[in-house]
Amino acid sequence: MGDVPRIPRGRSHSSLPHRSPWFTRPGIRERIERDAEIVVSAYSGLALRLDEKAGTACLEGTLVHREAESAIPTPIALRIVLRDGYPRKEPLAYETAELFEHGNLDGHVLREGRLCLWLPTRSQWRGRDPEHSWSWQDRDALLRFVDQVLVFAERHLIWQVTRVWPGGESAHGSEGYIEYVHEILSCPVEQLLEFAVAFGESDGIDPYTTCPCGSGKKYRFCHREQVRALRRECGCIGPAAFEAYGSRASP
Amino acid sequence: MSWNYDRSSERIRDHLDNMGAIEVAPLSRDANLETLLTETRCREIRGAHVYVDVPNFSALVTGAAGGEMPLKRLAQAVHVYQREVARIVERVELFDGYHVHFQGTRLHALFFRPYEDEELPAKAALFQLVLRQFVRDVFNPVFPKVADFVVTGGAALGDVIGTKNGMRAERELLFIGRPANYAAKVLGSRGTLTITASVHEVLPNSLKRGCTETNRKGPDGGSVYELTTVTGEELDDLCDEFDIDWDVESSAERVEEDIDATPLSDIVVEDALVKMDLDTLSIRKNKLVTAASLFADVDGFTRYIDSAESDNEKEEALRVFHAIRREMSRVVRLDYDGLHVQFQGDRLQGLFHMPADELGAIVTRSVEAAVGLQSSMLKTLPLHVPAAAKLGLAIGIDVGDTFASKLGTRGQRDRICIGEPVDGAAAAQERQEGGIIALTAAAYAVLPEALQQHFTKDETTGDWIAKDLTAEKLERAAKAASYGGGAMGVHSSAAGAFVTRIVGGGRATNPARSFAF
Repeated sequence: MGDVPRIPRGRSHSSLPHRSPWFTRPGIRERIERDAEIVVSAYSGLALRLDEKAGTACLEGTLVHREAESAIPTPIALRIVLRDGYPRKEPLAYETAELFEHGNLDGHVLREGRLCLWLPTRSQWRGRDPEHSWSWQDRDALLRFVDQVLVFAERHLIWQVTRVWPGGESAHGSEGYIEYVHEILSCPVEQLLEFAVAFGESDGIDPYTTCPCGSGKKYRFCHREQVRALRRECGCIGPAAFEAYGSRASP
Repeated sequence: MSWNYDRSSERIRDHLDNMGAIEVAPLSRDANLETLLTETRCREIRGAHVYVDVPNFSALVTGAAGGEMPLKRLAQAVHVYQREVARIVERVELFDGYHVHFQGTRLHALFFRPYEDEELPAKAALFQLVLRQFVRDVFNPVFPKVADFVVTGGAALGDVIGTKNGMRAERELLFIGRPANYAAKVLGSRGTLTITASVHEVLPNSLKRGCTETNRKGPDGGSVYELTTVTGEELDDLCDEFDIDWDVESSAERVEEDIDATPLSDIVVEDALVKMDLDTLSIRKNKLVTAASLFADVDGFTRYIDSAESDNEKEEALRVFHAIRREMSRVVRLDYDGLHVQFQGDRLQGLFHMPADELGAIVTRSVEAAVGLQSSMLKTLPLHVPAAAKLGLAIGIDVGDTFASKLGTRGQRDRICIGEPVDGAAAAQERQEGGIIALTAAAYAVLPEALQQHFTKDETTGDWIAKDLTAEKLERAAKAASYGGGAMGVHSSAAGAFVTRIVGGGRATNPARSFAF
């Protein structure tokens, strides 16, 4: 961590008045160039493109996926977009030649070709996935991100053959977030549905009523802080989505 | 060993780099085609192509599989039949033609001259009539314990390109172009002898009188004619007219001599517990194995070669052809340890019989070889010969008891495999178009589920088929189970990046739980 350039904290970058592109701020361009160099040394088909006029930064090119045994190459056209706020802000990965099925959510690729690597609340980039031990603060974070893109690409290619997504996946849309909330709260479905009102426009649970978890404690002194944190992470989730989840999850 | 992109690509490139310039010229003098033709010295040859088949040999293999004597009788009959038929084709006083090879018990014969010879079509028709007479009046009576054979034939006339392919003992002559293909395609049902319109048009009246137009159409859309039955006397007259010195008595004498030279007691038909060497087989040493037969045909190649008009186009077409054939053979032999039985034009016949008597494993290997063949056709051959991208491989596979031997004496000898699964695999291939692997129900039934899932039933043919099934699809399906079991290893280099289940040497990466908004 010692040689990682310091990133200015405080106000969001986008709110700062400036004319030059975001990546020309002190330390950012150096960090991008250094991270890109690490990536390109492993994936020579990718190259860093900094467009000062458009204010965009991305790694672009072809990642050649090879099968481990037959060595059949599959060139995958990629664009890894680095956003204003990098490196704190997670890059976005796009497949640009429509080798993947854009818009087929079962293949985890959005209409514009964006790859849905993970639920944002489980972002490895943000160090939020308990099963993973890296984050954007690591020296080789961007390389690890591209490694994840490669693994994702292989899984999509497998899915194209089997039509079954290999390995773990979260449910699509709101249900994926509810699934996450359910896992964190680790309570029965009936109790989860009682927490649902806390994920509306405002926390709809009276802090002085008994906590829906059944502990007998007041909500304020039991799950309120954890639920608030989850709500900040996941955003608002309507009661209909919880009901739909409940009806699917109940036997 | 299994199919590998880099290895396949490298050997195709090496073959093409070392091939040298191809020369295609008209055949201008009488020559021994065996020594004249090479991979790069090719000749345009005008001639009449004849295919003659005895379809009931295959059923006999199944019938004889249970007993030693029936198998020995079958082996003797096959070899004796081949020897006399080859003599009838080749002897100067007989038809003075060229026996290209036996495809099982199906003969491909060529009658050609380096100049216009009006008798070639007559020979193509008369040869079929003689063989019918030979089987009926000579062969069947001397093999009374083997069911009566019937002859089926087909003939076509025109220009083909003669070439040679293969390495050392595997060198095979090959004739590519419409007539060689059409003669095989007009082969009719049991007992019919047919000719295409190209032969019929130029037949002398004495033979034309004995032809009737059928309601079948040839591959070119032209009429197909059937040679009607002639009496022994009529056949003698025809042989006299065309100076063919064949008669039943002398043919019977030669057959008796062959039988005396190899009595049943000298013939062995046995299992193969290790991989067979087809070149060590003979009339005395034959094999009966449980095997998967594979036929792989280059769909569209005849059209492609026929569309080549200039010398450059023909030379390029031959380069493509040699590259495809060599690669097909290598996939079967080197990548999947199978037996390359022979090429039949642009079609390869392969056989898989190891591990001995393990039906599921045998069929699995043959299917994997078929997938390897499709991988070469779709992935590596187009890199080096772009025209290959317009062609496709149709592959058929069947499994069961198969009789294997090597026919002939010295010089030209033909590896043969006979049996209903051989016919079944050929028929499955012929029913499909390029890009398809077709399995008969028997082959599909013994395949592991992991491979079965790639095939769907073709309701019209009853075959189980897979379209464009290449090695990476099998690999991907097999790899699906690797996900969900912890960290994977990511390996990257200038040649590309790959993911392995074992992390060793790679960057450990835990697959994320994927999501979609």
